[in-house]
Amino acid sequence: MFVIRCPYCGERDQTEFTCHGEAHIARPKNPNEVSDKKWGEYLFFRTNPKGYHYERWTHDHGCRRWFNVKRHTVTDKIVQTYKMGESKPEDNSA
Amino acid sequence: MIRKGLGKMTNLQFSSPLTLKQDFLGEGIKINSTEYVGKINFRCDPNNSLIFNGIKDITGINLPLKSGEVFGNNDYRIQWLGPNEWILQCADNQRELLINNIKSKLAGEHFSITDVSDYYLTIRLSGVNSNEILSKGTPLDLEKFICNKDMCAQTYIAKATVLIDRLSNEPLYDISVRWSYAEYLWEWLVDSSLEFTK
Repeated sequence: MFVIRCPYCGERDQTEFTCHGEAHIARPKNPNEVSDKKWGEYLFFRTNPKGYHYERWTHDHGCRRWFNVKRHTVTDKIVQTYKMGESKPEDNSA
Repeated sequence: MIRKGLGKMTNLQFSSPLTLKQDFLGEGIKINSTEYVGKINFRCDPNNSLIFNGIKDITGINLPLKSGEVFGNNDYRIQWLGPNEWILQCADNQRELLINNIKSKLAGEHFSITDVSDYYLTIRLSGVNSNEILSKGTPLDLEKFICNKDMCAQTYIAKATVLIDRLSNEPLYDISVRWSYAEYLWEWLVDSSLEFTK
């Protein structure tokens, strides 16, 4: 069984969770003034790292809260989960 | 909803997908549906002491702040759903009174209150083999999350999302399930219990 630690509920089975893509993407504050290229990058371009990836997850079949996950894309190991609003943990893989 | 043998139309408002289900009795397992209970979804900032104390004044119990905690007394039962979300259970005929009391007591504060009584039906599972049956369909660690009285957890059983509330140190669970999933879950539980019949 693959277990994920929800910051609110504790360790639960992975099937209770859903991944919602990359985390820490800030929406430009002034969309009207942003160039098409910049806006396109914000909307569509994502990092595709071999190493630690920061993701947004929800605990759908539990507390239904959103939280962030730091996961290694090669080993699939989740090294940290943290609440929304908390700062991004450092990538010390290099 | 049209169902064979449902009886007179006048009874329709009191019918549910579980109305016609016979209680299931096996060895160390009993499945039955419970009477209607008022369920009020309540959300607020748990650090707002005015709201926290207001709820305590009205119900006599604190909002549980730890994951999976349930507090209750004779009239109310409060289940933890999330860090800022709870279910307040009350008698079916006390729903409006409770909502109005909270609304007037906490007027001007930031919170949300929704009557969700009709969203859920409750299936009661009891007997020494309850855990055996639950663990066939849920990934939840029963020994950890709902091992004692007054603990609850949201998870799923088979394909149905549920809230499981443990009412006693003996295995006794109230399973709240969406109305539309209730019949499915009932049949699934009965099917899983067949091995415990004589």
